[in-house]
Amino acid sequence: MTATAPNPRRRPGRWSLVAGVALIAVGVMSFNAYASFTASASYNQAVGTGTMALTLANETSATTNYNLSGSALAPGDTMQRGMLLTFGGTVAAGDLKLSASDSSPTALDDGTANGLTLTIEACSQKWDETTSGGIPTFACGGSQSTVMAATSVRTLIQTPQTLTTNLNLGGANHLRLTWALPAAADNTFQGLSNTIALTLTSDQRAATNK
Amino acid sequence: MLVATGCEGGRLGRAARHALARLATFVVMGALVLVAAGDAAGRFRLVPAPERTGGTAYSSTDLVAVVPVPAPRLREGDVLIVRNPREHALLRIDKIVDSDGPQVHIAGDPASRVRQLGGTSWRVRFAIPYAGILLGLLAGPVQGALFVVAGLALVVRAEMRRGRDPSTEPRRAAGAGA
Repeated sequence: MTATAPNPRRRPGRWSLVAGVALIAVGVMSFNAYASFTASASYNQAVGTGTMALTLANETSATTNYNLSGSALAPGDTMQRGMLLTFGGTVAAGDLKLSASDSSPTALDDGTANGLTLTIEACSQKWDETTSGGIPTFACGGSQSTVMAATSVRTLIQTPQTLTTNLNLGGANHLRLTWALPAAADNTFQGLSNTIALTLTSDQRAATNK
Repeated sequence: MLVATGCEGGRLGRAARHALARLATFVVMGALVLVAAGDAAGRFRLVPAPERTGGTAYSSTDLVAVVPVPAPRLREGDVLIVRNPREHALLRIDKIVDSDGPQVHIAGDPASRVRQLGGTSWRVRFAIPYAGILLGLLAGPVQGALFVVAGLALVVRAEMRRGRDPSTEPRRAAGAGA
């Protein structure tokens, strides 16, 4: 009887309980070990800025330079120069600003009446050049339009002109620059010599969403 | 005397072994339950290391312990675990590109690739070599469910056996009388 008496300290099912709790614990870890970890939200944001370029060149097929010097001008004379102005790059231009400067102004561009003027015209195709004695003239075989009406150089020096009309602000422009000494110029214009620097600048197109 | 002493010593040794076994069982069980509770509460997780561990000092056979860390508190050199439909890897932060976000560069990524971390990241605290193989076999929703169901069944069975055991009756009766 004594030998078979139940041990009061022994609890039946104790090991089942231990194993059960252990399995539940392992099960919980097993669940979580498979869980998702969304720690990294990855993306690449490519950003590239555009470019702008303004290129001056001689008109296509022209045999004379667009900055060919003019000499011995008399009142009423004109100087025609062909220029190929190209708006390059990946950002279109919003306008063209034209300004002039002269480090040693004379009556031609110091505000004296009947000073030098500049006219700019555009042609839908290349200007046809004709030279006579090395002096070029240009005719438009396509559609001709005015970019800037006759403007005194003095005005260009004082107030840069913003040009947009009849310009292709995203590509090539066939331009004819006509310098003129008005017929009303008097003797005060004799024997003058100037070097006028023209500066062409361009602002970008209006900002937009990209 | 010698035999009697020996018998006495044998009983004492058996009792000590039983006590040690019980103690070891409680310690192991306690540790297991603590780990599972911490795991379930999200204080840390034990996971098998993923296949891709490039750039880190860990192996794909490791078991790694990871803790949640707010993304802004991450530092260069920290190793993160990432598991989502697109990627499953350990990633080492090579450089903090911008602490706002933060935006980081991960070792092994192309130089131009910047990742933005958000919310909570899981940072590796330590690893147990080779233990990841075993946990890798056990990990999963089906396996987890099977373990939990089997564990619950064993607990219920144990409780039923205790309920049928006459040795527990007097204690329960005394408890009822009280």
